[in-house]
Amino acid sequence: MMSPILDINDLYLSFSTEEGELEAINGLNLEVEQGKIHGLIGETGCGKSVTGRTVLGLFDSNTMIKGGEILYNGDDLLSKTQHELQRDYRGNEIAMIFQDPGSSLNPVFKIEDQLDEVLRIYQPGKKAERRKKMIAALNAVKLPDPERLLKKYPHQLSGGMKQRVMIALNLACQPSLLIADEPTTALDVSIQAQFINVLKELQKEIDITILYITHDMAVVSEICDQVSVMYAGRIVEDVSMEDLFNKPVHPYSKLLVSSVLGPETNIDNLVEISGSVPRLINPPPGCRFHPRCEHMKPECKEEPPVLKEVAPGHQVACFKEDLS
Amino acid sequence: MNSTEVILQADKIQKIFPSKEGDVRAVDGVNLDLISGEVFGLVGESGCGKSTLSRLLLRLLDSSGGSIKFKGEDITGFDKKQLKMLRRQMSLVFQDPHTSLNPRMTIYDNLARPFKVHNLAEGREEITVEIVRLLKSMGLQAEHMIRYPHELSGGQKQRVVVARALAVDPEVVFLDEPTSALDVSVQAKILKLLAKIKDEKDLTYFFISHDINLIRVISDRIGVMYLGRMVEQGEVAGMFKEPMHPYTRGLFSSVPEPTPARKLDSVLMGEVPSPVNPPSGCHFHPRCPEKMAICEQESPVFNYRQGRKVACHLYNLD
Amino acid sequence: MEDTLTYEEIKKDIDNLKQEKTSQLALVWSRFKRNKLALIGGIIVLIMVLIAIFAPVLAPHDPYRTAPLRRLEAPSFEHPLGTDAMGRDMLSRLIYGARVELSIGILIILFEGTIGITLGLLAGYFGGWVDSVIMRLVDILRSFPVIILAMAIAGVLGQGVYNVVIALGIVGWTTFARMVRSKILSIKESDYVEAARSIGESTPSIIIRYILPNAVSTAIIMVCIMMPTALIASATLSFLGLGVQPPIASWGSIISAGRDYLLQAPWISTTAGLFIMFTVLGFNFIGDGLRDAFDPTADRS
Repeated sequence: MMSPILDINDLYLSFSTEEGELEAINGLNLEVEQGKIHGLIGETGCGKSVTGRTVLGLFDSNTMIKGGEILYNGDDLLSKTQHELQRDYRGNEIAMIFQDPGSSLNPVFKIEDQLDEVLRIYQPGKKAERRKKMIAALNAVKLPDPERLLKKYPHQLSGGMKQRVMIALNLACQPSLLIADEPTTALDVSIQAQFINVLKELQKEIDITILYITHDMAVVSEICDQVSVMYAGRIVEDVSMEDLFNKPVHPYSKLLVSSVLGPETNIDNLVEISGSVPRLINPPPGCRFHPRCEHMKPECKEEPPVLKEVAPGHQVACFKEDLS
Repeated sequence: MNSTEVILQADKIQKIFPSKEGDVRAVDGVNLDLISGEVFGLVGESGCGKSTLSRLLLRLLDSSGGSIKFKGEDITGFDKKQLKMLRRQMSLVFQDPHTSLNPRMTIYDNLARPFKVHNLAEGREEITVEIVRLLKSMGLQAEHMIRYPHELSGGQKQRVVVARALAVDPEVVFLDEPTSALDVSVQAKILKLLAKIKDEKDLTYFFISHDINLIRVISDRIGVMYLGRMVEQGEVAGMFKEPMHPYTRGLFSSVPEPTPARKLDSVLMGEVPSPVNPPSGCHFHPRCPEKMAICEQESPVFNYRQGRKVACHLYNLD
Repeated sequence: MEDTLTYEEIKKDIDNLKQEKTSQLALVWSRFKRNKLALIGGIIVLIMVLIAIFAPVLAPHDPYRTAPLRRLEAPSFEHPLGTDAMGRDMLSRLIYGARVELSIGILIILFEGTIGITLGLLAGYFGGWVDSVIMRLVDILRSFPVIILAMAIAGVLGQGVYNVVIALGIVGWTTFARMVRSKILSIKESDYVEAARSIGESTPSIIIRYILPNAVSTAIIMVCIMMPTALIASATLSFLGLGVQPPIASWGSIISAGRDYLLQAPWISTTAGLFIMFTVLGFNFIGDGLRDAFDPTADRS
């Protein structure tokens, strides 16, 4: 097996808030393999977005890193300064796209100028050359009529087009890892479908690794190879996409899968999940899922379970005896 | 109750918003029958006019043309007093529970308003008892009364919003994306609760959503809107089995299915055009894979074809 | 089961809960308290207010009694802040000055606030031509340099405290109106106002129960932010000789009187200047602190 491109070990991260310390990430272990689309799924507040931003060192002022390491091709990103991250990693090694495509583009510049700005840094040369590259980049994300598009301002584009321009912009510097944080949440279904197809094809063509952060199980089933299920700041299961849907092991993964609205779901067989996501200021001790878990045992309250391999490429963090 | 009694009927209803670039026909001649006791699901992409349509039917917005009948009575010309009575018969649940409760009022005061406005209960005692009854039926506790909205979670707030909509004891409840701001585990609870209340109180639901999987779960009949017009309407099972309008087909096939083996194949291409200058004839023709010459010139009539209402020239030929 | 609930039972439960619960105001106060600068600002302003109220008790001398033989005396035990050109005790004059200065400030804010909030509310809620008329008036008034316009008005109305209030208020309300209007516009578009309409609330009820309570925090913050401007502007007018007339002591007029003796008796102008500076700073700190404390986004997440 290849070594992972991104390897997060025992990451602990807190936010200081008015009411106390919020333990957003609590012993997170995540390995993203080269060339895969790796899904990171969980409900609001589980820490999935924070994880993505932490890889790139994008912190709010009240963030406290409590421990752990983030290895990118073996280098610990947490030990880098903001300057080093900016110079050596952001954009050219690791790119990131966000939920709201509108706010990521500069509203006062034409698409052409924004693309050129990026290209100039990484591929200096004649303007005509760069222009060809820009058109190729826009073609690669299946945007129609790239010549005309280059002359437009962000506000003249729809949300789906902006999100694709963002991809083109990010891929222009040929990063090896793309972190996509809920990129389709703000888009309509037909636009989302177009976007997913473009992203899937691109990934095959240029062999980029994608960490795809989402809360949408249906999107996961469309695009991901491997999936990490996150609950209250920890990975509870790391599994191939097929196995997540066909034989989820962790009780929380099972709930998530059963809550998906499929063609056979109706109001009577709709699965209701009891309890709710815990607050992360004074979270439950031990396994944070134990208050909602039907398999709860005494040791679950004692300490958090670690990820154990139950099958090749399938890890679960649970004290349940029958892990299958 | 007669199962096919039409409780709310819209006939060629229209809403035109003037804008700097020209008139926007947000709702452009929509016909709709809401049958008493059903869940009618309305789907469409953003900007198709589904929220505007619901505000027109509720008379929260004045229509620019057409008529709306509630139980056979034309409500488009209702005056203030009549409208106030109408507010007791139709109510609205919003998408974002964080913004739809008055942040400076406690839950008690938020919920007491409908009772006070319509004199449904008198005095603090009676109102309190009513509110606690409402809260309990929503799975909340009496103690939530003295909280402010920001002290409640998203799911709890949405229960309060539903409670407020039910306080007036309405017959029709409009639900505008009531679960899209909530997590999956909370969403299922709210949907179950809504279904339970509907059966208990014999309500009619008008359910708006962009989530097609969700609409399929909750609705009896659905309507599909595109650029201000209704393009197809019918029973939920039939619609999903065999969508007739090319837009419906494209829209449904764009929905990611949570089944690992099945992937998106034929997705809808292109984007929704600007509503200021919509395409001539059938608004959908520039994106339609089955476009014919007539589609550019004539708007198709929305009518019954093969037991379902469709607005498409394809079905004029047979 | 549900029908067996009685009001008495509910009331008992709720009363028990209420005792543990903190009110919304207490929440704002607890946030404000944690902001050190805001607290310092609050203390400064409180001290100034107390000085103004208890001026007759606190002042060691009569601020109006002249002593020609003891003019421009340096600070001493008898006169802690020295004396002015007419031999009057500076500390007493500054203490009485707080009275004058703060009352003028409060009057200006009352005047500006009443007009500004009312017109801002009307413009924001009703929109259309009402909005156009009010906002164009605002634009016109704001295109004049404030002090010059105030000087012109004071010139027409004559000198005196009340004319200062009118002169500054005529321009100052525009800031209130603008802020209140934009707040009202955003509240008007909010879901909870549409929700209020959907349950059948009348327009007056929507304004009183939904819009005003949500705009109150803006108004309170505005008062604290506008207060320094009002204080400085009134001091400026007094300094220019258009406001408070001698022998009444106001900080602005004291600075003005002291400017001829800046080298011989620098304490006259500087102490008055420091009083103005600290009061202005105090109100600014409170304004910033209140803005953070009221910020509802802090409740989210």
